[in-house]
Amino acid sequence: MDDMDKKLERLTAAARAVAPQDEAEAPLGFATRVVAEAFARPAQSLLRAWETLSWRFLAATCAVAVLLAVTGRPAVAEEPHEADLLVELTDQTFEHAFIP
Amino acid sequence: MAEEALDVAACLERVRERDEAAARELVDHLYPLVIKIVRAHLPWRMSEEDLAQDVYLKMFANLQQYRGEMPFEHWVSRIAVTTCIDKLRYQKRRPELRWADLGEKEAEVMEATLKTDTEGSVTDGESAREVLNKLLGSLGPQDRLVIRLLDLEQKSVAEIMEITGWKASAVKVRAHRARKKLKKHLEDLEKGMPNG
Repeated sequence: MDDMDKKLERLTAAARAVAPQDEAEAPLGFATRVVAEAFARPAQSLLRAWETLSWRFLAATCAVAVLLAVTGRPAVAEEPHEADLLVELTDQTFEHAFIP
Repeated sequence: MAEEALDVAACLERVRERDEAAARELVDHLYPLVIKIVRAHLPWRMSEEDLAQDVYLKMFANLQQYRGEMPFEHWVSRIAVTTCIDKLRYQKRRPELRWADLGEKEAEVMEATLKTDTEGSVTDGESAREVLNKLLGSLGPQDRLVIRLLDLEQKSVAEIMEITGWKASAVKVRAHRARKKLKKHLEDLEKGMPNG
């Protein structure tokens, strides 16, 4: 502990010796005023809830977008697979064969 | 005491159901705790009642987020501390304290602090507190907070962690840096001391 440490400690100890006065009770009407103010803000809390929901929705949308980009699945369908063409062809053949 | 007998959990339930009487009871119950923190970290030109009111409003607004993982008083302490720090952020630091800024009694206290080597030589605690407040005013809000909690209120690192939500290492590092800055201010003040 250097000299300045000791000096600082001496000052702090002296300041500590005087405990600040702490009132045990709130001023008259303080609780009523605070509660009235707090309870008069339902609209604000609804607004806040809406804001939170909106942010969460945006985050979810971004997550889905990122996921789609990463997995490489385009929103527009690719060229039909061979199997799909086969099914289509079979259906058409079926229609031509049985419907006059 | 009636305040100590308050069943906080039951009271909170009623407050969540928007029972104003229960909310008033809660405000009264927490007042000594809140006002102590507010007074210790009050920005200049702000009334302690206004700041205490801000703390309570924040508490009521976030009450749904309290899930009982910690005692309610600790949760409120944290709100009080963060509210004070937020307010202090907007306040400019005081310029470095000079000898000429000290009142007569404060100058005497500083002389006793800086000149005498014997322990317990500073007898005027009130003036010592004033001087220390002025010195702390030249620090940033978080440095000020950690010095107050650790050195003035003599709270443990664990208690400070609970109040502030900081990690133990952050508390220790901040305390170390804040003391270093404080010592530097004290040193500069000593250089400006008449007949020093």
